[in-house]
Amino acid sequence: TLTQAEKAAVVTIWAKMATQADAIGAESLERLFSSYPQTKTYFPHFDLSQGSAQLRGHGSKVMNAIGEAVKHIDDIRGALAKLSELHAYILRVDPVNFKLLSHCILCSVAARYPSDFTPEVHAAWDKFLSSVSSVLTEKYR
Amino acid sequence: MVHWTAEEKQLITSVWSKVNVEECGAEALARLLIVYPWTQRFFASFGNLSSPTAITGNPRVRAHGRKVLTSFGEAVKNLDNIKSTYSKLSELHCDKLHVDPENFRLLGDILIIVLASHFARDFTPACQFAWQKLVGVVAHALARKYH
Repeated sequence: TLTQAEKAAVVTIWAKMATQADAIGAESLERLFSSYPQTKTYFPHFDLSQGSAQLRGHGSKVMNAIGEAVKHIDDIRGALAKLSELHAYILRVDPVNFKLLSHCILCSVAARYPSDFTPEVHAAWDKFLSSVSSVLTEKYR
Repeated sequence: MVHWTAEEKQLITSVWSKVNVEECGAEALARLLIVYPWTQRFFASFGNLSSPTAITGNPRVRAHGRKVLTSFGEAVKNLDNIKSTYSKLSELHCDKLHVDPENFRLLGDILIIVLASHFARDFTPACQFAWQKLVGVVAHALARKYH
């Protein structure tokens, strides 16, 4: 569970990220598909070329969900309940991929906000994204 | 043997040429110990690891981080021969240090994040791809002699 200090760190950086959320989302997905090509298997129906509308649209979706989790950081499970069911019953993305996407999101954030991305903030975000991932996979079985 | 394209080699060596090994190594190891506190289990003798500030300022952490990243540089210098480059170190990590190879993957990913924060927009997805491949190959080589 996140400490108060960790929650504060997550919320503070999110305030900065929110203005570029769509771009960060698209960049994170681009990093994901490029570093871990196997993740593309979940998107055979997408145009995954750089700058594609679908990539940007999906990046936005992902970041919106993260934004919801930040807004309800004391009840991530409640905030993402519907998404959790979606991933468990419809999408069924293998759990290992949440770590990969989380890592790519951290890379994008580190690249855009290097001076804000202190070790403490890094740790808080890693933990937060790990919580989000847990919630999204907890109904799998 | 790992196959590297000319582009991958170029992305790796050009980034490496701009890396301050002492600073980057210290930062990577400190972040590993801060973000994944259980990794501190290998460094009980390092003194004060009680807080992120203590860890970042700890001279033994800094020195060891530099040592580790310097060794990583051997991989960059010997891209076509990484397995044999780390043969002895692999045995050491298994037989003497008793380090779970999962830790090599954790440190590799932390290094990538440190590079992203230092090189910002220059650390493109293509760049990340080459480096993810490299840290994966190094982790694999270090785990190879485990028994």
